[in-house]
Amino acid sequence: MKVNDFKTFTKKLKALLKYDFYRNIRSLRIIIAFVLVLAIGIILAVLYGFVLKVNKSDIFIMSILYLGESNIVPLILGSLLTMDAISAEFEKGTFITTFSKPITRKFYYFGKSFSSFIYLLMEIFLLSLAAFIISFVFFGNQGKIDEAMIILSGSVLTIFFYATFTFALSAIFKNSIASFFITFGIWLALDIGVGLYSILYGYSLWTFLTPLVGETFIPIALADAYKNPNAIFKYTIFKTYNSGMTNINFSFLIVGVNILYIAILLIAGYIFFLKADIKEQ
Amino acid sequence: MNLETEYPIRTEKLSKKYIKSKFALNEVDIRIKSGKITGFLGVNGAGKTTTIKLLLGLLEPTSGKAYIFDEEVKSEKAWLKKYIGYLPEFPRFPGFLTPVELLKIYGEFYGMEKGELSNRVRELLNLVELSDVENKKIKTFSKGMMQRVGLASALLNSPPLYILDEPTSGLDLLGQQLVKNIIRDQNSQGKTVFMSSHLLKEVQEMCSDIILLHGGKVLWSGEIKELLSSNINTNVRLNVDRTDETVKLIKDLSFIKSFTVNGNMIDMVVESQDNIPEISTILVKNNIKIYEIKIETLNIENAVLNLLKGDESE
Ligand SMILES: Nc1ncnc2c1ncn2[C@@H]1O[C@H](COP(=O)(O)OP(=O)(O)O)[C@@H](O)[C@H]1O
Ligand SMILES: [Mg+2]
Repeated sequence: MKVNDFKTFTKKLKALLKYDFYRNIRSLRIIIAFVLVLAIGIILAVLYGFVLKVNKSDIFIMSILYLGESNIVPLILGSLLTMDAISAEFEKGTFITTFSKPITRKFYYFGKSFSSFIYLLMEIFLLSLAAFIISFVFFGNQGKIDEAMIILSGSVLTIFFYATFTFALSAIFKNSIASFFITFGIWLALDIGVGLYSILYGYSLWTFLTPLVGETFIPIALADAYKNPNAIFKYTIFKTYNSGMTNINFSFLIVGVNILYIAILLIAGYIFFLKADIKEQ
Repeated sequence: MNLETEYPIRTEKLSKKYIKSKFALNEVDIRIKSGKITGFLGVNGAGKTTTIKLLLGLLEPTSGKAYIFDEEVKSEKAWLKKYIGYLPEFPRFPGFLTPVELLKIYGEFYGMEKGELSNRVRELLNLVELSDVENKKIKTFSKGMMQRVGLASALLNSPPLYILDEPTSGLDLLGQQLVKNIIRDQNSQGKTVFMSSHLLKEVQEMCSDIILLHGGKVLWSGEIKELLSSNINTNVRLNVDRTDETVKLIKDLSFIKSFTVNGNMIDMVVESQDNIPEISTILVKNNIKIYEIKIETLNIENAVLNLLKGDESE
């Protein structure tokens, strides 16, 4: 790429980021989602600190953990942000003008996914900053900021996975509401299915690698690998799962597999998006 | 890529078949002359919008090719769009933006510089008379206002070619006048304009050339004055003193298609207006007094109707 090409590329990307900035900042849905997640965080911090009287230095970690360790927060943050990322312009019939400008579909699609990631990172940054401030103000000096950062990066991957899942559906079905509810429906079905299976037969490796279910193990797996890299990975609810793998190997596996999922989803969405006819309404 | 080409728009056997329907466009060959305003005329459903979308690479042709400035159109050649100012038939813009924000983002897509862009956006919003609402969200805009935003967005980077799909639709009279003036002004600066319309009057008023599309095929193309003068049958009414003799004199002329006699009147259909001097010369030579020659003024409406009728009878 020549210097000039790179300049125009970054200029276009900035324009696309600006476009999404206006879109997000003026979307009631996204503001509500953000406030909702913030509220969950505050309530949890207060619960851990005052009611459950958790060890002081763990409160911050636990208030961060909520971002990625349940399915609800990634759904609210990730899927609500990306449900109309591609489909909105189909629904509103605005692609006809967007694509009469000198940008390719490839640039638009990957630019949009990039900007979704950027805005998610910004949201996550603000949320964890809030969690930090709250736990600091109420419960004093916190230790273990490094462990919290590890957990946070795991949560980011979890949220990115959900966001990408809905993003790809938004490109495939060209319908925002459908994209969100299909994500929600598949998650619900898989979660119940896998949950029942593991109660009856115990956990096995694929439980942790099932899309829309396994992602929630990422933050904990990373935390375990950080604290105790060479210990055997164990997961205890109902029955103990013992993979025989070390914590560090397990976390490499689950992170690698999920990055692969994200790549596959992005490419699948892209293939559909390339083929879609641009219609006026 | 050749900006100096004689034909900024050119197609070769361009065809489009939508899924589960017949050909919307069937082997269309068109050429748009540089520096002219060419009208793309056709009834609703003729295939104008389909052609235009193919020209912009917004649709993939089923077969055939389209060229813009001698460069074959491909959807991935986004850079070609720097050279085309396009106004869609139903322009829609993201409602959460104001016209200023929208045009600035579009300008950055064109790679325009910040300072230049700011001035250009102000200038254009002034031109399309949207300065009063430049900071209102587009979602509050009427169809007419949307059309003006669309025009501003087409003009943004002063491209050498405009492709306008029914540019005056949805506008009130003043809006239509404004748009027509802007188009004429751009053309006087040497820009090529290709505008579709189903309004004959508008095309006649604005364009020097037309392409008549019907049922996905080109029915006629060329200069409007050519359409009005030749190839089309012209109705002539003669008022003479000796009808019998007149009939004898003219009945074998090849360019006379038919005639009927009504007292002193002869109504006839001739090939073209150019035949009339010949008829009058013959009559004068034979001492026939001509009281009146009345040519049914052939307006574009009749010419086009004749073409359409001719197409149906085939
Ligand atoms: N997306 C589409 N799917 C199927 N048929 C279409 C589509 N768009 C247009 N058509 C059909 O193609 C023909 C040409 O339409 P169009 O190009 O919009 O004509 P015009 O712009 O001259 O009114 C019409 O018969 C129309 O019904
Ligand atoms: Mg049309």
